[in-house]
Amino acid sequence: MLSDTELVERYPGVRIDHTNKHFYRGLLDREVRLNRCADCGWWHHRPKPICPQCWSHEVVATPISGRGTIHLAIFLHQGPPADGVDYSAGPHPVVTVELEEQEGLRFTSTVVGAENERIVIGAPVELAWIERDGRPFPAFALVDAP
Amino acid sequence: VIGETNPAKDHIAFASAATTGFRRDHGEVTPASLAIDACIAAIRDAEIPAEEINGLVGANPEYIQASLGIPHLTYWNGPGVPFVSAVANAMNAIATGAADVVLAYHSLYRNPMFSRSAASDPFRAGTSFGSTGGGMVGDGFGPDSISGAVGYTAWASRYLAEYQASRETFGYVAINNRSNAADNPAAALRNPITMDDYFAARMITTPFCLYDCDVPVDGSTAVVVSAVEHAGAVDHPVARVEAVGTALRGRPSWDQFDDMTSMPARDAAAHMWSRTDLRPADVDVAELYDGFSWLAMAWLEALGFCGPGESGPFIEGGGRIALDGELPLNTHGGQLSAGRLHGFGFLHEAVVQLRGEGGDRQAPGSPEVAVVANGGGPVAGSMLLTRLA
Repeated sequence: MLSDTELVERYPGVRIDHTNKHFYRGLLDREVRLNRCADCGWWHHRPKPICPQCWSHEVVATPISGRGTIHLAIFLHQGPPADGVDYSAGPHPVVTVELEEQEGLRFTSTVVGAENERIVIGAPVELAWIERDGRPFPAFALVDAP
Repeated sequence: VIGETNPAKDHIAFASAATTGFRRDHGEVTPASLAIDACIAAIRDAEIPAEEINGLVGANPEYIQASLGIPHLTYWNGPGVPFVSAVANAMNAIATGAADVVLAYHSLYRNPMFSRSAASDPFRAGTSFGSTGGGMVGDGFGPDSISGAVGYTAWASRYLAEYQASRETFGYVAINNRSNAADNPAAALRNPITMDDYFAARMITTPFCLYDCDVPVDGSTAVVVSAVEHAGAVDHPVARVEAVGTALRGRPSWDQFDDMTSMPARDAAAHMWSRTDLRPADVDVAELYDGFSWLAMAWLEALGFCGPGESGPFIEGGGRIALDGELPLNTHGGQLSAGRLHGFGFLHEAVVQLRGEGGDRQAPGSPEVAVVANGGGPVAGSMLLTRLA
């Protein structure tokens, strides 16, 4: 397992601390682990040291299924530079996805493998891992309706 | 009196309001030099000696005190969220007796992140987005996150989807504000725009185009806040505080917030209305935060000028919110056209309108009640002002 020092070194420029380290460690293992309360079962994101619902300190970074529905959708015509993002190739999609685990639990990333016209609020998605700066990066892909 | 629902009502006034004007190039200035110029103008407008000021609210109050040579402060505080907490701070200090006359100020300074011309100025290299901090820590990084500017855009995308609204309604806000700015010598952008211009504008982040975003400027605004007795001596009308509402609600995070189409604007507005007998129909002018076009629409709904999702039809065509309409909106041009000032510009304009000093952009009929709103995202504040002749 990666040491704490190695974990911090894998994310230069990111402020990793004792509260959010499990989330970032999970990404390197290709898992999105969000905090879930071991006492009351409530999920929350981004990581906080206690459960905002019951104040329990027993919060556990727990893998999510990755399935959900697009809740917000925007398209960046310009923006901060990032590995693999080419604004000149077309507007870059960013979505906030409402996860199936709990109402109001959301995760934000990009969508890959879809025309922008199809990336609309309400569309079902699932996790799709890509590489960013040599690290696994959780994105979403559209799920075709059955 | 502590314990009363609204002890500020009719007791606290703005003896003055002053601005440096908002420009995209103010030359060799710093945030503090702009604040000092605005403060001097506000003190002169209040017709009081600087020695009478014993409260300061804004960034680096010690530096401003030393620069202005104010001999003695009994109250000083940082700005927090501009206007919302700065003015509330000043009022609270007066209400509790911590200070009698408070000078509150706020500067905006174009920084390299928001302005190409600023990026070429080596003396701006180390400046950040004011002293208020940017967004909420921990909401992610890089392009694939939602916070700050793109956060508002994302919430607007939700609004469009939930109410099946069109971008055209955003355009009416942009056009209205620009036509008001044409008559405001202090505004940054004064050339009129049409709906065709709006739809032809460069997209920044869909669903927002260039004209949906406020304009980065250098500028500063200052107000003198005091008990009405102190303000009563001046020979011009003053704006008196009727009620204030503030709110920080829910899960303050750009992507976890519970209701992105109304924001805590509705809570701040409800707080404000609960402390006054005045009603939306009594309001003569509305100066509503438009860091992005849609935010002014959200405030129209939050304040009860129309129902949730109804601001589009409310402003359609632009007649109702025009200077000669039933509810003149952002008479100075708002942040979209006058310039980004973190809400302080709206407060300044409300005072100008109540004093009847708007010149070519003065709302007709001698406005007696003005509403000012500031904020978007998870924070919000609003204020009702009345004219004291």
